[in-house]
Amino acid sequence: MKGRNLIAEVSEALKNRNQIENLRTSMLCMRDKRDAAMAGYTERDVAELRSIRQSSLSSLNENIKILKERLEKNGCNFYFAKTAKDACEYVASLARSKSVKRIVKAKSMTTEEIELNKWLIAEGFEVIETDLGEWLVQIAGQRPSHLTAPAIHLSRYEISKLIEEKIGVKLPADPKEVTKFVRSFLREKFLTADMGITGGNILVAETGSLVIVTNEGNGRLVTSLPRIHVAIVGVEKLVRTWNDAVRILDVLPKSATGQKMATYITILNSGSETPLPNDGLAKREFHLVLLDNGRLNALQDKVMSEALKCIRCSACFNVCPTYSVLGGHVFGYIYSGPIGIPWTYISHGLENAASFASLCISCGLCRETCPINIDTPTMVSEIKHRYGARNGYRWVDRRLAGYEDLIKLASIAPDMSNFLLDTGTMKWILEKFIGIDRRVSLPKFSKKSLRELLDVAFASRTEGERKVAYFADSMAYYINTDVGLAAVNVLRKNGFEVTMPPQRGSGMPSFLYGLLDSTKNVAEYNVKHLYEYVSRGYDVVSTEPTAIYCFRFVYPKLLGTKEAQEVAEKSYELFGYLLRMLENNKLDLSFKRYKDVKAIYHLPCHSRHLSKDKPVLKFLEMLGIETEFIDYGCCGMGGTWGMKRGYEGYEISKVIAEPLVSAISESDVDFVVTECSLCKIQIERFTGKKVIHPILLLDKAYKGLPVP
Amino acid sequence: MNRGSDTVERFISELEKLGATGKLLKTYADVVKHISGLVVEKGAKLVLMGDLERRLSSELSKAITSIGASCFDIKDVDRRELRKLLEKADIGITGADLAVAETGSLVIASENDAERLLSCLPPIHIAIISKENIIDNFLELAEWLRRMQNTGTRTISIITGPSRTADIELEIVMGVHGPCEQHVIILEGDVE
Repeated sequence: MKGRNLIAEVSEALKNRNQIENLRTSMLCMRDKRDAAMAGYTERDVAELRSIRQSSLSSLNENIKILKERLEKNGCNFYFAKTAKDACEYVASLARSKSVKRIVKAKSMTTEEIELNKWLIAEGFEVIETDLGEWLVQIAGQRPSHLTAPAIHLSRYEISKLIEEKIGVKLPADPKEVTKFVRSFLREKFLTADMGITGGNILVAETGSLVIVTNEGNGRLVTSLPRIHVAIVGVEKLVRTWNDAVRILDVLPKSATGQKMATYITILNSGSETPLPNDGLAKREFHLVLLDNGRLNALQDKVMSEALKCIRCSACFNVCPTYSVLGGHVFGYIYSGPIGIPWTYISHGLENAASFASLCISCGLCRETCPINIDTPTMVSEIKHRYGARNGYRWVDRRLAGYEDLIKLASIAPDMSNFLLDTGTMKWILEKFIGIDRRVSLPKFSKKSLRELLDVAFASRTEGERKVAYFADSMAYYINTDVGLAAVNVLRKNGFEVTMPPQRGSGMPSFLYGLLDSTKNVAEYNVKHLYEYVSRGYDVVSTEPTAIYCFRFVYPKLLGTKEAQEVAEKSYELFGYLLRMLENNKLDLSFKRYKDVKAIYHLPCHSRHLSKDKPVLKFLEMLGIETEFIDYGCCGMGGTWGMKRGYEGYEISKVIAEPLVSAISESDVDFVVTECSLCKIQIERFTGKKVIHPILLLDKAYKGLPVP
Repeated sequence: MNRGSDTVERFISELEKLGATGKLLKTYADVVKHISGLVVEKGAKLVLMGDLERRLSSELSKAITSIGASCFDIKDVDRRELRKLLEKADIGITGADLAVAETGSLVIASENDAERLLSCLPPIHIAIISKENIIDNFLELAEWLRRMQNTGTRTISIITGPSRTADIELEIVMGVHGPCEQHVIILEGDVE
């Protein structure tokens, strides 16, 4: 992968404790601000924005034609750049022919993508970034580590040291003082620049307009002072109408920084007259470089075209568990963060995208927070798949992708497996040959599988009007069988006829490592058997949120069949299902209320996609359990990823879990509640506190028994 | 457009949240008095104006000159001096075509970049908007933007509060490259 040693990069990054703390706090803060600003943004808004982006992309060629006509009519220069090189050459040759010396730039990831600065500096031009964060990153000789906050990895102390080293000015480590200094330092550069370069947030075809969004005001100066303005904009930024444009402008700042509106939006469709030093007004030359660089190819790619819908708000960065501890230099190539993986694929190729794709743990939070619901996890999985298909999958990924088969195998002789898995030799073998970190203690197998246990329970078959097909998933099937039994009890107590169709594990482990052929096999098997029940009026219910996540969001895309779609529509995670019954007054409320029991609730990532209203919290409240909800996002387990040896998984996973672990460890609660069996492993191993599936509590309450 | 007082209140409250100020005034005399007060308070030496109603600009010019500061309408300035003055100005005063109550935004279409620079370069920007040009929601702008960009090639700026950054440890600092202060005057009813 182009000489990249990701493990070394990760181990280095994990030593930088200051950066981890700063980044983590910043990301949580940005997440919360964003969530507050987007509180009124509904599912319908998501769908509308998605359809705006979709229709803009499907009429892209036509829009390009209209844009070009409009701009040329206004006397502007339009250039379509097929490649990064074409774009750089155009700008350099323009600058040469106009005797440009000094160039000022407003923040633009598109110019980062094509490495324009490097090109121009090599040609002898002076190029100055003017966005505060970009300027800091430029003088540090680095690249931006975040889409909207490029210098988020630097602390105020590092920044004041940096300015002293590079500019020779001693400043206190105070953002106000630094900003004041940079204002006057860069003002002189603006006033003496010959050319201004910007990116663009939107292009509006119907009026040939460029739209630039900034907060600092550098975008305005770059486009109003120099005698030449070049904007380099990716083709995907093009929309047809102003109706579309204002919808994007309305959402972008909210989702990006939690601002109701960005400070400055500059709209122009020609170069206007500018006052020159010691001279009158002169018309500025305006050049629009419309950049392809892989985008039009991606548009034809059924999976990757999804990334072109992105409006680059960066909300996905803030929730990404691995990004939040490693930062954008490790979790990135030039583009960083979750959506940076498919973008890298589009503009810098498969190898470079795969060079950091393994850091994605498929928690899906990026997708959940995206204002357009972009399915980044599927794109990342596809990238892992394409890379694996071309270069072979890594041994450890193949083994862990088959985790569900391993469980099935080991469960043939549970006593022996439980004994063996506890021995040091076996742990050594597992680490060496499978890639499971030796520090991981694997859960104990149930003496009998859920199927065997239920055969007894099902002997007393109850006929019910409402019918449920229960999907256990591997953990409740072979290990936490008590969860499966409790679910069946509770559903039966509420008058359901419950059955357990033939099933295999959900396939998430193979999806996570990009072994999509295996995922597809599993999906086909599960859909075939579940559909048999769904077509007869059964609902599919699972205690494992990840399973329902797969049914809803992974299977339909992988299989593309009507059966998969119908199974998706009839699949529910148990507590969302129970909540609906409660709301329809159909839930049996004759259960015990507990007293003096305290718990913390951890919300699993995959649950967030399934029920927006945190149904478990509602039930814990009804059970009388005093519950604290703490929200540090993903626990860092990522299914089997957190079991992966050393710096490939375990070490990162442990650091991701830190805030959650210390909050739990410091509290005096009796236990932790979560639905996900893998979050359970993660929390138990690092806190030593008992983690309980909420259905066990409800089941006990129905039976009038004390909490487990 | 006939805007009720709740729209104005909402606009002013959004401006204040952004760290700007908003003031509802009745007559030109009130405006002149208010701005003269700001000029004195800020110790401004050079004030530039653009895109204002002629009578207002001449009254402002007279009043500000009388308190010892220089004040010009950029239309009256020798074009070769324009750039130098813009670089030196302490306060830029502009009109605004529209304002958005929901977001506290000003919408300004500029004839040329000298006009645009009035709200970019000086550390203080004062904008004057007529009450009836305040719209409620941002999304209502679409039609107007389309019309403006179709009928001319003027640059449009949508400005929401003073210049700001959060690039260092997410701490918000005002006045990076644009104005550090923004004062908005809303003109109500009969200016006489």
